Amino acid sequence: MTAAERGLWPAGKRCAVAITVRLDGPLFWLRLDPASRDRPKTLSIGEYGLRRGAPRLLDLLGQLGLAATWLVPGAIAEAEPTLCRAIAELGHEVGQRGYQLEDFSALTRAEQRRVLQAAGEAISAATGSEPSGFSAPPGDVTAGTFDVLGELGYSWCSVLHGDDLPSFVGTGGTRPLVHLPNRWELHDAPYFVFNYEPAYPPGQGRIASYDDVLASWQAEFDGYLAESGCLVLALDAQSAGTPGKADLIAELLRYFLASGQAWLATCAEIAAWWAARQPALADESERARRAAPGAPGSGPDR
Amino acid sequence: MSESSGRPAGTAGRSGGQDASRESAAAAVLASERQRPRWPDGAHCAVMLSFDLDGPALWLDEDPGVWHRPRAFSLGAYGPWRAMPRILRLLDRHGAAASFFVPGWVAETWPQAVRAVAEAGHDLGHHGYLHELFYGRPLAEQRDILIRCSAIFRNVAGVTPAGFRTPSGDAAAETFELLEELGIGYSSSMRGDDRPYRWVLNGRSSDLIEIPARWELDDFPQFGYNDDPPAATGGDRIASLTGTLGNWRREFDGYYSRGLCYVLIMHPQVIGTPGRMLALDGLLAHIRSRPGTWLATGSQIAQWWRRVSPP
Repeated sequence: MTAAERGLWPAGKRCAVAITVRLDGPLFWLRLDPASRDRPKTLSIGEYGLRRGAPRLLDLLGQLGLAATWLVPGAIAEAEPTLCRAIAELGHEVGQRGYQLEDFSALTRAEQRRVLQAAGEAISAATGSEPSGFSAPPGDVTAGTFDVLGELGYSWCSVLHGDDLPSFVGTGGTRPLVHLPNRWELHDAPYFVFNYEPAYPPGQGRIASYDDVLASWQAEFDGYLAESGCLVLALDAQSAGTPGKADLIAELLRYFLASGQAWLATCAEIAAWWAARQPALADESERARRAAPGAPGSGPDR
Repeated sequence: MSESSGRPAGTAGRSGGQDASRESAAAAVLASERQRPRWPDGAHCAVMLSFDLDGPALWLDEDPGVWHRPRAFSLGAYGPWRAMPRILRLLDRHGAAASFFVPGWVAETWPQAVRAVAEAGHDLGHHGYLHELFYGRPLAEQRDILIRCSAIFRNVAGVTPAGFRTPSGDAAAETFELLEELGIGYSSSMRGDDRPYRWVLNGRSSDLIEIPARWELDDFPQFGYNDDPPAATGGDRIASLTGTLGNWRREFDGYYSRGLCYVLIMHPQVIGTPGRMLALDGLLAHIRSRPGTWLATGSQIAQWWRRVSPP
C-alpha cells in the first residue's frame, strides 16, 4: 500500500510541507571560525538575517497566511528577545538548535542535556513557552541525543537524512519522539550562502542561479505530491531574507498553495498528527529499535 | 553580539527596545521591514554601481609571485587596460554615475584610467595600495596606506578619495575609526543591511556612512576564475552568465519594490568582457526603465544619508 493510499495527511491532502527558518545569525560564522569575532564584515552576513531577513520573511509569511517553524539557538533568543517574541506573537512555532550551534556528536550525554536545557530556557524566556522541537545544528548527533530529547519532553526533532516521511526515534520520554525529514536539497545554504574567509562553501563554489533553485524546489514539491511525502524546507533568514530571494521564496510558497493539495503546517503540527495517526507505526518502530542495534536511538549511550 | 559591525544590535536596535516591550513586539518588527528609506526628489530606490579596479593587485592575495608571472599578471591587467574604456562608454551611454575603488598602485600604473574616471564625474575611493588585507594589519600601517593613497589620487587625478572599500576581505573595527579620523566620508564594505547607516564608533553615532553590499551582487564569486593560482579555490566552474544576471535582476526588483539601496560590486577585469558588458547593458536598461530609480555615487548617497538620518 502506498503512502497516499493509507491517507497519510489530514483532509485528504497529498503531501505535508513544513517551512523552517533558521536564525543562526553571526553564530553561523563563529562556528566556522571562532576568530570571526574580530571580523565585523563576516559577522554582518549573519546579522543581516536578524536585522532584515527575519522581519522580511515574517511579513511575507503573514501576507500568505502561513505559519512557519523558526529554529533559534539559545544565544540568539537571548540577544534578540524582541524578534523572538514577535515570531511567537505572529503565531509561528519556535524550536531550538542548541545554545550556540554546538556539535552534539562532540558532547557527552550530560553535556547535551545541559545545552538543550539552556537553549530551552532562553527561548522560553523570550517567547513565554518552551520549545517542543529540535533541529540539529551542523555536525552530528549521538544515539543518546534522541533519548535526551525524549526525556526532556520534546515531541519532534529533525536531524537525519534517511527518509522523506516522518518516523519515530528515542524512548526516553512518555510519548514517542517524531522525527521529521532533513534533506540537503531543500536547504537554502548549499545554494546561496557565500564568504571568502572563513570560506563558505569550503571550496568557494559559485552562488547558484535563483531561477534554477526555484525550479528544482518546485520539481521536488511535485515529487512529494506524487509520493505523499513530508517536504521540510530549510531556510536561513540571513540567506533567504534578501529582497530578491524573499520574493523567490514567496513564489515557491504560492506554488505550494496553488496546488491545493499540500498541507502546510508547522513541525509541531505535523509531529502531533503523525503521533496521533500512526500509533501502530510507533510501536513497530520501537520494537525495531530494540531489535536492531545501530538503529537511531540504540547506539552507545553517550 | 552585533556591536562589532558598528551599530546597535538587531531589530530591537532600530525600533526601540523599551517601546517594543510595551506595544507588541510583532508590530515593531514588521514596522522595521515596512519603513522605507527616503531618497532625493521622491525617488523610489537608490542604485550604486561600483567597480573595484584591482588590476593584478587582486591576484597578489592568491600568490605574491604574480609580479614574475606574466600570464597571471595579465589576467588582472585586462581590467585597467582593455575593460575600463568599455565600462566608461557603457556608463556614459546610460548617463549613470558610478563609484570606482582603486588600489593606489593601480592608479600609479594606469593613471589615464583613473583620470578618465575622475573626468567623467564618477567617484574614486580607497581600496588599499596593493589590495592589502586590512584585517590583522597594524593600525599605523593602515594609516600610512590611506594617507599615501590619498596623495596618489591627488597627484594622478586631482581628487581626494571620498570613500573606502575593504580590500581582500575583512577589516577590524578600528579601521573604521581611522576612516572617520582621516575624514573619509563613507565605506561600502559591510554585508549586514540593504540601506545605508551611520557607523557607531566609540559608542556614538558618527558621520561615517556605511553603504552595505552583498556577495550575491558581486561578480567575482560568480565569474572570477584562474587555474593557477586557483580561483575559486575549490576549482568550481564559472557560473552561468544568464543565471547570475538573472539573480542580479531578481534582487534589483526586490530592492526596487521595497525602496532600498541596491549596490552592485563589479571588477573591470571580470565584468569587462564583451559578452558580460552586453549582459550588464541589459540589466542597466532594466534598472533605468523603472521610474524613480536614483543612480548615484557613493559620495552622493552618503551625503544624502547624513542629511536625512540625524546621528
